[in-house]
Amino acid sequence: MVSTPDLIHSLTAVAEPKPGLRHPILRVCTWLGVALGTLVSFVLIHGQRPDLATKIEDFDFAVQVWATLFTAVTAATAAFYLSLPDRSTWWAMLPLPSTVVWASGVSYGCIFHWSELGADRLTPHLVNECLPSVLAISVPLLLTILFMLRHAAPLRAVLTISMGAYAVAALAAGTLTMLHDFDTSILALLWNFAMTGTFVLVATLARRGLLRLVAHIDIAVRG
Amino acid sequence: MERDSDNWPVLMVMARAGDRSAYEKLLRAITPMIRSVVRRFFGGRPEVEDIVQDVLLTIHAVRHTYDSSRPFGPWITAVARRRAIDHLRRQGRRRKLNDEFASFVETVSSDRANYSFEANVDMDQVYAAITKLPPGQRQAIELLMLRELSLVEAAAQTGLSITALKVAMHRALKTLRKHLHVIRGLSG
Repeated sequence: MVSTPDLIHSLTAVAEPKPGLRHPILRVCTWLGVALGTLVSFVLIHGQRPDLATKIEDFDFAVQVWATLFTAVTAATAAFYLSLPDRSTWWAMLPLPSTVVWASGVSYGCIFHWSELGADRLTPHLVNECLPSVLAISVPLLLTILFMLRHAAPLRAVLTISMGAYAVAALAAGTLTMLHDFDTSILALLWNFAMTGTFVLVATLARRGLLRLVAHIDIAVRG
Repeated sequence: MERDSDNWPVLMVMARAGDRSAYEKLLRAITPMIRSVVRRFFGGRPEVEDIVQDVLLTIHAVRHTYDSSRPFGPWITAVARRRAIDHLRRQGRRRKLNDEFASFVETVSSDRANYSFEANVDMDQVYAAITKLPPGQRQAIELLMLRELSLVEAAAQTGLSITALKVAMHRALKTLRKHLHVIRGLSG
C-alpha cells in the first residue's frame, strides 16, 4: 500500500487547473435550456394536441400542467444542489408540494377516465402513441442531466440521480399532456409513475456505476 | 490570531488555479482533519488509513465542487463523512455474506453447542490423559494431532500402514473422550 504522503505527492504531480462549478441555479437554467430546446423541436416535429388552446383555459388542466412543470424545475434544482457535498439532504424535499398537487390531479382524472372508457380501450394508445414520445423526450434529457451531475458519483449518487430522473420524468409527462389528448387519464398516471419508478430503480441498482460510466465517457471525450 | 485552517479556502482556490505547491500544502494540512473524521466511524481499526487515502482521492476528483464563497470545513467534513459511510455500508454487506456460519454456533440455544472446549477443559488433564494411552494410540495422537503430520508422513516415520494409523487414532480419540467425560463428571 502506498503511504499517504506519497499519495499526496502523486496527486499534486498530476493536478491540473480545475475551475469551480458555476452556481447550481445557473446549472439548472442551463439544463432547462437544453430541455426547452428538446421539447420545442419535439413539438415542431410531432405537433401539439388540437384542443390545446381551449384546454389551457380549463382550470384543472392548467393546474396540472403547471404542477408538472414546477415539479420538473424543483426536482432538477434539488438534484443540482444534492450533487454538492456540503448541501443539505433536505433539498430532496423541494419537489414535494408540487408533486402532491400533480399526483392528486392525475389520480382524480385517472379514476374518472377509467370508469368512463375502461382499460381495454386505453391500452393500445399506451404502447403505440405514448412510448415513442416518452423515450424521444426522456433519453436525451436524462443523458444530459447525468452528464452534468457526474461529479456526484462518489458522494450522494443514488439520491442525486433519482432527483435528476424525477425531473426528466415530470418534464416528459408535462409535455405528453400537451401533445396527446389523454390528459389526466390512466395513461398519464401510468407513464408518470412507471417512468419515475424505472429511473429510480435503475439509479438504485446501477448506483455509482451509471455516473462513473458517464465520467469515463467524459474522460474519453476530453482525452 | 489566525489559524492554519483559515488559509485552506485560499489554498484551495490557488490549487484549482494550477498552483501545485499550494495544493500539496493544502492536502497535507487537511489530512489530520480527515483522519479524525474517519476515526469517528472506524476508531483505531487498521483500514483507517485506506479510507483516508480514498477521501483524498475523492477530494482530488471533486475539488471543483467547492464553492469558494462558502466555508471550507463543512465541505471537507461532508466529503470525508460520505466516503466513510460508504465504506461502512460496504463492510456491512461483506460481513453479512461472510459471517453467517461464524455466528451460527452462538445462535443454537443448547448449552453443549455453546460449550467452549478451551474454556472448560484443563489442558493439563488432556496431556495427562494422552500419557496414559497405550503406546500405539499415544504415538498416533502425537504424530497426527500434536505434530500435525499427514497420514503418509506418519506412516513413513513409524513403518505402520495408513489403515493401522487410522485405527489407532480412532481408538485414541475414543479413549480420550471417555476419560475426559469421567473427569468432567467428577469435577461437576
